[in-house]
Amino acid sequence: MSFVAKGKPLIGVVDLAMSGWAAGGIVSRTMALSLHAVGANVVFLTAHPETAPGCLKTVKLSEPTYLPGEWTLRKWSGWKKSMTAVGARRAGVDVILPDVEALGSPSLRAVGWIPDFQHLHLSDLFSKEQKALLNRAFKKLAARSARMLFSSQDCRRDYVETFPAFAEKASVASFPSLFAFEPPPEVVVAVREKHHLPERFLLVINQFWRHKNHRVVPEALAILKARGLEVPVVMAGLPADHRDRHNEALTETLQAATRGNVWPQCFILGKVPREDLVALLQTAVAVVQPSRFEGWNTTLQDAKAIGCPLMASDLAVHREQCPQALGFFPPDDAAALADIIAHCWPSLPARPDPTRQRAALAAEAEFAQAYGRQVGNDLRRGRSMTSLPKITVVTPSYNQGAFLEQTILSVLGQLYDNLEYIVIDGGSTDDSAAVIQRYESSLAYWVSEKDRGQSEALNKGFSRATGDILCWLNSDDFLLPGALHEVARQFREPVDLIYGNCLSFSDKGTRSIVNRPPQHDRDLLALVDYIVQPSTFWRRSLWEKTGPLNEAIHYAFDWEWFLRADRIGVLRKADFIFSAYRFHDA
Amino acid sequence: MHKSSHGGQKRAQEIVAVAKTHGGEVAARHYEFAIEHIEMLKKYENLALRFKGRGLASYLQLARWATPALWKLPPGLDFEKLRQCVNMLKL
Repeated sequence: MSFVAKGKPLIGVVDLAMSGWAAGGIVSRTMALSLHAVGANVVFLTAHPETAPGCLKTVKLSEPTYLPGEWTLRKWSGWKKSMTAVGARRAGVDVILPDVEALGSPSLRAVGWIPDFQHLHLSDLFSKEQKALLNRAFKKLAARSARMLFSSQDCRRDYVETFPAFAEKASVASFPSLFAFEPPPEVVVAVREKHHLPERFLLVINQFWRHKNHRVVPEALAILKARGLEVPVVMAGLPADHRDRHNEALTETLQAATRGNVWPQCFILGKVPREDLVALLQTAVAVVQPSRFEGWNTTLQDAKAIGCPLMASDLAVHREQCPQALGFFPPDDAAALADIIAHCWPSLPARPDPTRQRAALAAEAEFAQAYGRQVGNDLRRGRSMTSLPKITVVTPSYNQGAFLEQTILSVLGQLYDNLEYIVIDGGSTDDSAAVIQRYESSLAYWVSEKDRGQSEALNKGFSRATGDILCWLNSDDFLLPGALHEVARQFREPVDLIYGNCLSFSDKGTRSIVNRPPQHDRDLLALVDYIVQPSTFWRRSLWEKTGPLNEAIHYAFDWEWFLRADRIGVLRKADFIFSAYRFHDA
Repeated sequence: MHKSSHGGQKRAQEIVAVAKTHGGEVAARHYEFAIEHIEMLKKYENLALRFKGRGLASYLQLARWATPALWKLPPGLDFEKLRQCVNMLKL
């Protein structure tokens, strides 16, 4: 499968709906469609291609299949994340977006997207641990992404203040409504009849979570009722949130309606089908958005896109998103909201209004085009890539057919662009040769012939190596995801050999531990070999100076070579788990 | 296959040889002593492990006290280094 178009990078848009994040899914779709509309070479990366927009090329993402059953390794290796990166690389994607999982690497450019910094603004809704986790995740995303995209200037400001070191990567592209590409039907669904709604009503579309602040709406209705004005409000949205275990947001809203005696005016529909939601937006006389915080609100954007009037809480992002709103009110000020409603309600025209909708949709289509161009420009700005050093991995093997495939896949699965992989088999009598043959098209060299032991096999392999950085990986160990990219990053420093941490595990799955060797200490290395071989990488120049492994030694040849290397080169510990080391009886 | 837990005596001999060639006199002497007194050192490690399992804070000192032959080491030998050598030998 190839999507390569001459002169145009292939942009992989990740379907964020895969993780059950509906709003994220809408952002993905609008991003892909906007880029497609301005002629970019786009492919939609999704686990559910049947739900993708028909005009887009799609790549089906699937769960990784190698290393099944080894839960300890899944736990350590960020397994789920790599599935998107693997799918993207297989499709030949040059750049991936919107990245929310820090998938960026020297060989796969990513444009990161942070929807908002809610945890900074609504600190009371997050635990200390959740806040720390989000800060760490966002920092990692910023560090790994070529560019960082934000949906509003407000969100960009938060980012720059929080991560000033990555400020230059930031740009703002406010996403359009999906209606720009999938316009609502001209014939409006009879939603009033279906749900027994009044002729004129205000609309609140939000999931019932605390920060959405529904409560202020019935409070405002109560104030209006006391003044003699009865205004109906329809509330649609999932009446639950996994973060709100006791359903406090819904409870507060119901109680506010009861206290204010405005029950007959409150139509709480809960979650409704998409076509009903669209029809509600087309029918409501205005949308109210009372949220305490937003990054860039999809409901407001949808309302704008079809010409529905708006009232919104007084947030910087709301003023940025809909400067033409009927009014802004402090999020917890029911009286201010009541004033706006009282002022506007009598003159708000009945809807649907097809003429106004057509004009608004045309404006939204232009907005979407501008958005597509803006994202495209950002991709071009982030195009500069660090060239990857060539890494040679040599795998010596002898009768390890049971494990060899995992080892090979762990190297090839690194998706490292500048890899040279050599397998030297010592004439195995099991199925090793057949396993190697399955992957020979991805190997720089392989041979299966008798040798005098592992050190000779390794020297044979390294004599063919042309890489800038060398290492070996035994046929029962394996590299963990991201290892080779981290190696490339580490060797930007003036160092000759790096060694890192290693996940040691027993073959039967009964024991696993992360082996963390100490910082380099020449005296200690002279006494014991603390360097973990499968997590060790060195420059070719060091190998050329030390000479090959001592073939007279069969068990301690790695330590002997490390000691020779230590006399010549600069050794350094890298605090990264590069590999997994298997204990077994074979 | 080269695994650090495999090789037994042959591996131990290679380690001592490498220690003599590259590690210098001090390393070589530690390994020679460790191999010569390997049973006693293993007994010490087992005791230490047992004391630790019983929650005794000073399990290392207790194990040392319970192994009189290790009370006095030849000049120039360090007990901690000996323990590291034993761990490396994996005999």
